[in-house]
Order: sequence, then structure tokens, then C-alpha cells
Amino acid sequence: MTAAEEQNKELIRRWVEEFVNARALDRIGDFMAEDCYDHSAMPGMNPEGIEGPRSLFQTMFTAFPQIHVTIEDQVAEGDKVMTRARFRGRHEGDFFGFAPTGREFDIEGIEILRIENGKVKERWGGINDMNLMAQLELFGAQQEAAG
Amino acid sequence: LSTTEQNKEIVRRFYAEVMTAGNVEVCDEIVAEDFHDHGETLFGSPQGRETLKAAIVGGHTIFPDLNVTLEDLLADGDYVGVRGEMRTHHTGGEFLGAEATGNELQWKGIAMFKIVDGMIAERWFNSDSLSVVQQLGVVPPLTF
Repeated sequence: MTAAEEQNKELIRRWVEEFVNARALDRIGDFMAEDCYDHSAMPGMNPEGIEGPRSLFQTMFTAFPQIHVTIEDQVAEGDKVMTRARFRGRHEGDFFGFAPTGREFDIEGIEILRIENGKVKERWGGINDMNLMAQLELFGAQQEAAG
Repeated sequence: LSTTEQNKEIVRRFYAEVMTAGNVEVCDEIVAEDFHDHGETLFGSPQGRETLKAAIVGGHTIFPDLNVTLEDLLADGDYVGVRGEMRTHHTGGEFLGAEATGNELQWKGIAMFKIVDGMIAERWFNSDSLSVVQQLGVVPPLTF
């Protein structure tokens, strides 16, 4: 483990605590590069640039206002960090056109982030969206037009 | 080779020789007998080496030409992180209620392995399972 690899792990831990768990949307630029690229962007979302992630986190913070992420393991090599984490929350607001169900979820996510100049530049992977949909019982639910 | 490079090689063998080629006997060399899986809903969580072997044999009867391409491999201490793409044709039988159509399926996956004494002891994985069930036509596409 080099010092740079340890710093990259620390950046992701701070991102989770100070940005995601704090729901501090205005701090996204402290952790993500303006020209970041999301290789696992959802269909219809722009993978290029910080606006896609900003919009996604806005949706998550609205839909799941108590969302809490707990990091369980990290693997760092070179400029990449893989993080495995649990995501817990309750569906209390609009989620891509799905009306709030009040249901709770507890799902796992694994992602690889590439760090450049102290910020997240590229992302692969993410949460298990099928487990999320299943726990919120959204399969078969009415989805209003997103937006 | 360093331990981390050896651990990466074990994971490469798992995907090439076991998952893709279907040679599950290789598990005897690289998977611990008390292998513990933390899988996910769609593809399940086989516990123990023999259960894992049976699950892979079962998977190959449904997807006989399953091919896993590794796109990234990271190692750190006892852990190996891996990201890849699965491609196959649904030719061998029913899966999740969907008849075998012969259609090509393609999905992404990401996994973390813990290696103890040269054997895979634990696995966590997350596949793009929503995409799989949509490709199978089991659930309708969603609008994001």
C-alpha cells in the first residue's frame, strides 16, 4: 500500500461521510472532477461531466432523505479504489417518477473510482439497482414520466 | 510473484477456467472448501465449494457459451477487486421464467474476492441484474 493509494482510500471515505451521508450536494465539486466520466451511468443519463452525478445525487437525496452509506471494504491499486458499501434508507420522496412508498431498503454496492488530482475522475459499478427496486416493491408499480 | 500478483492470477483462473470454460474441477485448486459467498438476488449465493461448483454447472446448462471478459483487476492485501463483462446466448433452458430464445445477453459485473492461503475464501458481487431481467423480458424497461 503506497501513501498515494492510502490517500485515495481516504478521499473516498471523506466523500461518503462529508458529501453522501451529509447530503451536502453543494460540495460535489470538492470530490468529483468537473469533467468526470460515469461508465455505469443509467440509461438516458449523460455519462460525461459532473451534471449527471449532481442530478443523480439530487434525486437520491430527495427520494431517500435519510440515506446512509457504510463502507465495508476498500481495495486500492494505482489510481483506482474499489469500495464495497451498504446503502440504507427509506423511500420518502419521488424516485424517477415512482411515488414515495415509505419502504426501507438495505442494499449493497460495489464501485471502482479512478482518482486524478485528488478528485473522482471515472466511475464503474454502483448499487444493485434490482435489489433496490425489489425491496421498494417497485416492479409493476406505476412510473409517472420522470422529470 | 508477489502475493497480490498471485491473488490476481487466482481470480483470473477462476473466470477463465471455471466461469468461462466451465471446468469446475479447477475449483479444488483455487476455492476454499468452506467458501463463503455474499452474492445477490438474481444469481444467488452458493455456500461452500461443492455448492459453488453445482451452481456453475447449472448456469452453464442454461448459458453454455458464457464468456467473461475481465476489464479491470486490482489487488490490495488479501483482497482482489475485479470488473468485467459477461456475454452469452440464452440457448440451454428456462431462466427466471423466460424460455430459451437463443438471444444474446450481455451484462456487466463487479466483484470483490478475499484470498486466504492461495484459495478463494469469500466473494461479494454485484451484477447489472436489472439489465439482465430487462433483456430477458421478465420486467419492462424503466424510464430514467
